[in-house]
Amino acid sequence: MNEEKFYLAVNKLKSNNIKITKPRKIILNSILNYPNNFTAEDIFINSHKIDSKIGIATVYRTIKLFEKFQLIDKNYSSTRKPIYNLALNEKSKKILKKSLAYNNNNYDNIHIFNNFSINTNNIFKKNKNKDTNFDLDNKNDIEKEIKLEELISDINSIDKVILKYENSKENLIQMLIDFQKEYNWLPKHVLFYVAKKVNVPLTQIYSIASFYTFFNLEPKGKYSVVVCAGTACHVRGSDSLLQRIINILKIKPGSTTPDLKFTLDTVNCLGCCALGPVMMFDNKYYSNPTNKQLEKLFSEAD
Amino acid sequence: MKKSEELKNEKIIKTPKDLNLLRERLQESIKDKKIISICSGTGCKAYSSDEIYNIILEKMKKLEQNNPEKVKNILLKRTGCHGFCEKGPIIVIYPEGICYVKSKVEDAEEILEKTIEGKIVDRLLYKDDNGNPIVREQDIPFYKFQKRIVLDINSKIDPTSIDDYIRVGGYRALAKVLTSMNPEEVIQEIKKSNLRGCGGGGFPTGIKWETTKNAKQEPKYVIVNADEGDPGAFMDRSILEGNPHSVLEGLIIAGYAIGSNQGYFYVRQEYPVAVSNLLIAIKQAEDYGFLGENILNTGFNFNVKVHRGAGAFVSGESSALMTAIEGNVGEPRLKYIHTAVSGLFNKPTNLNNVETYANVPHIINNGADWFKSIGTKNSSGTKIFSLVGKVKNTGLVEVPMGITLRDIIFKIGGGVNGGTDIKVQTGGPSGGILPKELLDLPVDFDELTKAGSMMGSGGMIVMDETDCMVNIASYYINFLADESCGKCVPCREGLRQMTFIYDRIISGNANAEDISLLEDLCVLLENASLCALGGTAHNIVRTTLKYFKDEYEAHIYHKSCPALVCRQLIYYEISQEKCAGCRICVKSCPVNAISGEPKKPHVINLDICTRCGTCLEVCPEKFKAVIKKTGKVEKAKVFENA
Repeated sequence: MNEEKFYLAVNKLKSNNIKITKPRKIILNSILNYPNNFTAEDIFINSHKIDSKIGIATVYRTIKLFEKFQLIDKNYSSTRKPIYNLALNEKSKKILKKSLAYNNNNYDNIHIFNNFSINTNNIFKKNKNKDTNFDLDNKNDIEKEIKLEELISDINSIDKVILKYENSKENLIQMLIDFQKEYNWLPKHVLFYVAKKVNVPLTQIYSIASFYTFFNLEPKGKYSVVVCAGTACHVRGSDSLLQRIINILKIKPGSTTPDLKFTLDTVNCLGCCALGPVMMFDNKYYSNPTNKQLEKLFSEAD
Repeated sequence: MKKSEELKNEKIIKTPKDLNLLRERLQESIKDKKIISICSGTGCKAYSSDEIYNIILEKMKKLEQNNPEKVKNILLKRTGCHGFCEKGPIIVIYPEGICYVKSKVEDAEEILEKTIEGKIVDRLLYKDDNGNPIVREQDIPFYKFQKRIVLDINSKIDPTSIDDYIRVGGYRALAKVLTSMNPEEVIQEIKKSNLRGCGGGGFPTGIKWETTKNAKQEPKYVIVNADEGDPGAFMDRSILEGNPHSVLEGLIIAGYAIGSNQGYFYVRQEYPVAVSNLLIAIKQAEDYGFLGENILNTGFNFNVKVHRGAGAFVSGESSALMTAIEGNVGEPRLKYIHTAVSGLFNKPTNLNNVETYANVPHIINNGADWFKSIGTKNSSGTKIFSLVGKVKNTGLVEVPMGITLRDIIFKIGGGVNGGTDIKVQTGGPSGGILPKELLDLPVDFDELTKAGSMMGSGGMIVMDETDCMVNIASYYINFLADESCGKCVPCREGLRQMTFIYDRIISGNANAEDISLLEDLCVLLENASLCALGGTAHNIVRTTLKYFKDEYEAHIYHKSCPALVCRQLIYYEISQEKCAGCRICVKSCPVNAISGEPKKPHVINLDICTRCGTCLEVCPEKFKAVIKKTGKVEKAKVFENA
């Protein structure tokens, strides 16, 4: 049971952008071993046994941090000495259990997720209130947990792809192409998972994902607006076409509108030079569209 | 399960005789039949060729129910690229070869009806310059002056059908090689034919194969390089999309000659149709027993894997491509040991371009002497170019080596729209720009290199006086700087400095020293770069400096762009006499830079203007009040305390 609690606590911290350092892990484990009525000194003695580098100051600081994020409750004894209790309430445990029961086989895989933030809000870069505590009565946080289940279900599809390519490093690029096609970008959790499964360093995946132009490390818009910047289109005036699209969408090439609707890109050749300058929108080709046509296209897309 | 296996075994072709029988049977099956072939290349698809196909298909289905006799002799086929993209969608009726151009969706039913009746839709025929219609495909000037060897089959077969390919003589070369030639003979034949690498370098293919064969290590690999990243070139795509079996056949023959049992295709994933057609082709070849174990009962085994590239221009370089197949970042390495000796997984590897492999079956079938008779002494055979830019007939052309640039542009391409000062860019980012004085240059590997350009993979971009050569050079250098992998310093930093210099020139901030700086950088890049990406970047700079120095000087000394292209050196002006004050430009200006009252001449505020040219486009034909001018406009000075 301690593992589950540990997992939950780590996620709580991660979701608040707190780094999980080695001393913090040790202290957290010590707390989980003595969940009720402990003092800072108790924890210090326990942690110090495991790692002699942990001093009492570290323990105080860490406990204060945990307290801030309501991992532990603070009370005062009759001698006015602070006494702490683990504060992972029943409801949070239930949800956790549910998500674990979702697929028992994936229990191990969840621990792979343990190493990084599972907070989907973080991934999607939506607004987050930094002071929001991990309160399970809060609706948003419950949503977060449900998204966790989705992530677990993702594992199945990711595993399928990895299996298709025989779990080999040689096919890493092929896997990433498949993920890019499925998600339209490369979410962080997928990369973490693939790194563990295929047993390659994350840096290598990052170097591949950032080297090839096909991969995106940020979410792309629903519609892709692609302007051909091949030489044939360039001499026929793709520059001015691009400038007009920039004027309408108000984004630079390679970026996405804030409402995640359009992504503007340029490519080297779309292979229909006779039509130049060409724009591809929603997988259809348009030959040198006028401003009016562009505005109509973009406003009709939803 | 058993049944399907039996069925599979039944399909397998075991001897060349079986293949001949199958081919005869297939030829018999289309005897007396009319084939409507609709091009489904990217260009024609953009002109809605798919819709036309669907309409005819549905109509045929309807007729089949009501009047099966009528459509009994009609076959509808969706084929690969026919090459004549300018007049797309192209529809050809075989066996007569009647060619319809620029057909619309509305014409679909009429085409079918007239074909059934055996008549011709006159208004859809190609018209020559004098307005006379030309019926047959091979009589159209665009096709007449070409020598189509590799592309010829493209327009006749359905790329997803191996039967079609066998019908036109496919896999005959493979059968011949496996049953009547030993590997040594195959290599001698290729060497004799003088086939040179069509990917750009022009290295003799036979010698490459021999080196790989003689390398000591095992296993050996053969790779098809279909990572075609050149902007403005799409011939590899057309071959893979239109006729994947020909490349596959060439690859298997290469595997046999070299002694390799494993082949790879490296295809850009930006070409989804090419990838899917290729996968279909591989599956079909496996079913027929042209791939796998014991091919044609000769004991030769060969398998193929398809590796999709994720978009990096530099991955088209041979050693970079091999590291990419190994699953790493596609960066090149020093080639003091050739990839033919130590390539993929440090094993001997032969890598050729799509077009090179597609030529192999033709050489085997027709003999090396036939191939050598085409082209020039040092460059045999044909080369496919994608003829694009300001030329009238845009498209893919296959011409014998040694033809002059003038013939390609004027006879096949139909000349240039309007312009007189013609310039030709060949070889993509690695090549250079040739002026109109060199139009009589014969096109082959050596002559182009001598002139400072390059054959490259075969992009041929025609330009005229409305194209600024400095701007084009800047475009290519920016492209190369963008695509540089960053492994070696000369390429990474040298190209970056070049982009800064070009930025200065096209924005009118350069000085006289910049030209000599560019020349210095050319020497550095040529000699010190790791691979050809940086090593050939000097071509574009040097040729433009050599042939179009006046344009550089205009940018640097007069702060003007003679071709009216460079955005920072042009501005728009509204003629106060001609402007009638219709307010169309005021309304359509995206940045609201134009002001003016109705019926009074308008004025452009050049401080706000982004030079997008919208006003020039929308100004009504009868006024023509917006004028494009060149010169540097300094921002208006605002005196705060005035």
